Amino acid sequence: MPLKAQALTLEAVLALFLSILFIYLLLGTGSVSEWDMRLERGGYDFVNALYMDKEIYSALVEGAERGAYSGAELSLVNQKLSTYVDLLDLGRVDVVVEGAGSFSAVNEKAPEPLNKESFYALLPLRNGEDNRLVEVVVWV
Amino acid sequence: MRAMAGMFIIIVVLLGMIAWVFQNDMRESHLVIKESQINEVRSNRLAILRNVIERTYEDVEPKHRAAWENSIEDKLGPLYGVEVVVDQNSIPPTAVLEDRTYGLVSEFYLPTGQS
Repeated sequence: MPLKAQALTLEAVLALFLSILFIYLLLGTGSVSEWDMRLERGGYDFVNALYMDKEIYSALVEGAERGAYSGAELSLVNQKLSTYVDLLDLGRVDVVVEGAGSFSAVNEKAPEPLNKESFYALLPLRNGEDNRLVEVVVWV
Repeated sequence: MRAMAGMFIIIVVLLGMIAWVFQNDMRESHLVIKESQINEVRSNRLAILRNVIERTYEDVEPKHRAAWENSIEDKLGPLYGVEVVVDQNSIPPTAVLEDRTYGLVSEFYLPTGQS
């Protein structure tokens, strides 16, 4: 084999090796942050708040037992949620009570929320005769 | 010319080996971080579910607890990807939460202060 052909073959092999190496370096590691832990902490705190904040809890139960929420209940729960969203430095929270209604609060100071995670709770109505699912969607 | 080509090959191979070792270290640390994040997330979900079970159990009258148990086991547990078994006949009543995908288990007594 002539010397020039040998050099060309060698160059091609090296070029192939280098390109494989670069692709491996660029794509090999993947993303480190798969979860935003603020969502998890926010989910825990919000689900806890549904039970611990007696004003929210009684408003959610009373409205769900009637089948719909009054203006005063909506205003109270939305205001409370808004306070918690600001305190926890989250972007937004949505609370949906199965078959009764929904609530929402947005943190105006936070950047546009892009990621969300759903958490669930249970709302016993009429001392447990009926149990409604509550979905809490937390955004950051 | 041949000496130059040989040097070039050796340099490329050495650089490749260094990059490979570095990459393996990075990959391993990323895997550890991911694993700890998964554990934290799944533990957090179990903690939320436990919280919901303990708090609602207290608000349910004994005659409605079978319906409550069904709601917890059939509706709420699957939403968290967790198998829930409530045993109201044991003294004190217990609940077991099992995340089979990640091998996490939480077992606890249900509050009996109010019934």
